[in-house]
Amino acid sequence: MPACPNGVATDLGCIPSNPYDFVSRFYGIGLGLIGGVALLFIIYGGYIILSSQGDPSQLSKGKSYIYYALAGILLAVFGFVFVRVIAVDILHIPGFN
Amino acid sequence: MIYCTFPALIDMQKFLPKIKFYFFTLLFLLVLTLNLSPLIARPAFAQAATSAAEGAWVKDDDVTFAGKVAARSGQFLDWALANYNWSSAAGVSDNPLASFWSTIRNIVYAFTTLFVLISAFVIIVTRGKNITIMRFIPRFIMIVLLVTLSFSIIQFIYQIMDAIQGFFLTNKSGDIISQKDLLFVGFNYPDFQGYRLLGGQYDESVFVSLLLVKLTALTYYVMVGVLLLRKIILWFFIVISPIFPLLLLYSPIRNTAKIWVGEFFRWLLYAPIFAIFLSGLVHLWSSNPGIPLKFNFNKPEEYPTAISILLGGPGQIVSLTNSVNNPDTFALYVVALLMLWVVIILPFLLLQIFLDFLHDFSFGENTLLKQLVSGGASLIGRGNGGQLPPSSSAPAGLAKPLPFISSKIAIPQIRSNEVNISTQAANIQSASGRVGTEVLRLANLSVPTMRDIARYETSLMSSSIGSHQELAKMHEALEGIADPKRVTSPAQRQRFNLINERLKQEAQRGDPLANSILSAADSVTGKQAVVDGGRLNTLFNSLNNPAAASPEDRQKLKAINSLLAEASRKGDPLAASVLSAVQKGNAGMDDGLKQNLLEAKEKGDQLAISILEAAGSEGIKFDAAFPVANRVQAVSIDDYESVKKIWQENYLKLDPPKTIEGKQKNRKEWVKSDIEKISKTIDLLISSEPQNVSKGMEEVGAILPFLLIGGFAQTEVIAYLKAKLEAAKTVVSEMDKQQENEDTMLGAEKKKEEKPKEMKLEEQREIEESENQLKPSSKEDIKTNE
Repeated sequence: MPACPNGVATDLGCIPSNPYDFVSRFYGIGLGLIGGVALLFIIYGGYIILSSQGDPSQLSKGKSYIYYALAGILLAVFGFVFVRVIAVDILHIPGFN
Repeated sequence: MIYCTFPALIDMQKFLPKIKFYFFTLLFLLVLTLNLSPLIARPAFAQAATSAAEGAWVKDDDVTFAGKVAARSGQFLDWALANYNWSSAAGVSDNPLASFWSTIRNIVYAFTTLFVLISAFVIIVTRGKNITIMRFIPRFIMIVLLVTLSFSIIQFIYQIMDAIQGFFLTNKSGDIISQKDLLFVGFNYPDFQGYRLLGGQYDESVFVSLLLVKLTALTYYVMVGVLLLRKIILWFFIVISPIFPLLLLYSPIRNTAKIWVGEFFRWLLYAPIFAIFLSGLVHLWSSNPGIPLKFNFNKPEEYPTAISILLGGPGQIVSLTNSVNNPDTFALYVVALLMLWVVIILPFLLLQIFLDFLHDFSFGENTLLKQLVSGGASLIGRGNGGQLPPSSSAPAGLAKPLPFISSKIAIPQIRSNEVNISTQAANIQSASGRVGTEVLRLANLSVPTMRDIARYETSLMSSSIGSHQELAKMHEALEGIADPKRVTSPAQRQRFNLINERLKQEAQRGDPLANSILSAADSVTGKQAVVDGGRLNTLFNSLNNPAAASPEDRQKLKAINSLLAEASRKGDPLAASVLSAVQKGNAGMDDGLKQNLLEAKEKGDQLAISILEAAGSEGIKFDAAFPVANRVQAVSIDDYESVKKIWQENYLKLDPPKTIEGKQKNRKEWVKSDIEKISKTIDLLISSEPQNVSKGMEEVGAILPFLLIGGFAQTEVIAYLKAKLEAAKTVVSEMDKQQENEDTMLGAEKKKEEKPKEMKLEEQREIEESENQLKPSSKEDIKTNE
């Protein structure tokens, strides 16, 4: 296992023992996972649309898969920005960095 | 030796639910430990005493030790009571806890980004069904604000509690309560020297006096220990307070939050309640009559004063001859000590009740929390929160017959109300859809339709075990809802507690389905069904002595007796208990048996049914009432049609029930008796007298719980019965026709033979009729001729 001076060496790599680095490391792992899941959902949504044969309920179902997958991915990608905008720029919470 | 009190206190904290037990164990152990030394020291002391004269005062280490322990404990209590505030640091900036709290807060802040990630994942997987971005944003803001303000909020709560303590922790002169107001240890620690009287005759006195001194010290230490423990626990709670909002707002970990919040409030509220009791105690002691019991301080000395520490209760002026020298003063001191212990223990007991309540309380069902969890939508003004307006077509007066219209309600009348009902349906479905379906799912129940009611009634009559099981399960669920304490399995009890709580909340908010389930549950548990003991007693007496009854009754009694004997031979416990009750006479009648009979009747037990029937139809009383209008479901005319169809089939295909004698009833007889029964029930139900209506309800007792769950109005129940009645009538007429046909088939040849005769007769009749018709007309002719 590779050396991990400031943290714990795990199967997912070095997890830092500093809370901020810990969170950002997990964020990275989570983002990758979400990206994969969202991709699968987009593909499935596309498949539903393709095989809907013009059925409006199937069409909207397929669309909802794609729509929410994109919304989720955007929320996850801009999560840090989102938190910053809300906590620092809007709420002006002191000590939130 | 003082050290041993602290580990003991920690033990106490660890096992708080069994606080009473631990207090007493602790007390016992401490008394044992504190008194072990004098017992061990006694031989040495006895040796030393040989040199001094008996009855003389000598220096004694044990007395010195006990006195010093008491002095220290008194001073410790004074310090603890004087510093009752949760923290001597006033603001957030200079509080040493604040810096550590901010570390935790920052970590929680960092974790909120993971919260965003998790929510994104949930949005993708559930396609916005659980949460959308628009619902997520207010929720996120709520969490961040709560985390940020957690220190200030909790500090404020602490300060309020401190202020409340301050109201009470003062004595009459306005100072903070100290040991001077309690059992005052009136000597200094450094220069205290203990003495005792020498001699075996004083040993008991020495022992008791020392025990009381040590118990006083122990009481003070426990008091201080609990108060300090509370403070320290509250410090740690404020440090972890940023984690609370995260716990509260996620449903899977909300139970943890419940435990945390429960513990938090237990320790938070302990001190104010303790202060109230302590202040009450001080006021009682310092009042003129003091403790309201009879104590005579001036009785002659019975127990000698054997140590140099004088003991006296509240209101007693202590002297060498007025210490704990007689039973009254001794009792006074013991009562005073016990009162101090009550002050310590009672808040715990009271808060245990609070914790139990919180344990049953469900965060998920709380309206305020629901609003918070649903994104605080209505707080922020998105406007989709809040409740639906109550159904505008609530009690529409469907069941109020006008005095000049016949009170009989025909099925077509329902048809005219159908439009009204179906307009309600939308409201009903949306109102009961939210809460009801979830509760019903939890309880494994479903809202029975008219068709279901017919089905249930059918299965009550059928002999198949499977269909009985389904009903028994429903009964069980309803019983559990009505009284969760009766459920034996803890997990199930918890589930039913939750359902019960939720139903009650919803019922209070006017949810019709919740109301109907609760009333159905009540009707099942027999809260409203009571067996008339007097009637049963009469029946049991006549069972015991059938000869005294009328010949008609005698046959019935004989049948019941043989049924009983047979059932008890088969090992039926109900039959055995009824038999023993019959043999014992009046003394054998108990509530348990009545309840068993009722339950067995509900389950369709033939024996119970025949016993209760024989006891008289008024044996059971129902106080439940059908609602004025059905707000749970809409009943359509098709339902009645299918009820009719089901019953037609039943009457044609089901095996007729057995008579009391065990013989199979004739089908036609059975249907006819049902027609009679149903017409009677309908008459009772539409009667204007409440007594008759309750009798009518008793007639439908077997299906009553299901009717109540379905929320069926009285008119609908009557319509159901009418549908059943029509089915029965149709079946009877069909049977009659069939019989007629059979008769004609059998008598075909006979008829052929008789035909010429009939022809002749008919011819004759025709001639006669024509003659009759002719007669007046001829008269008229005459008249016109004139």
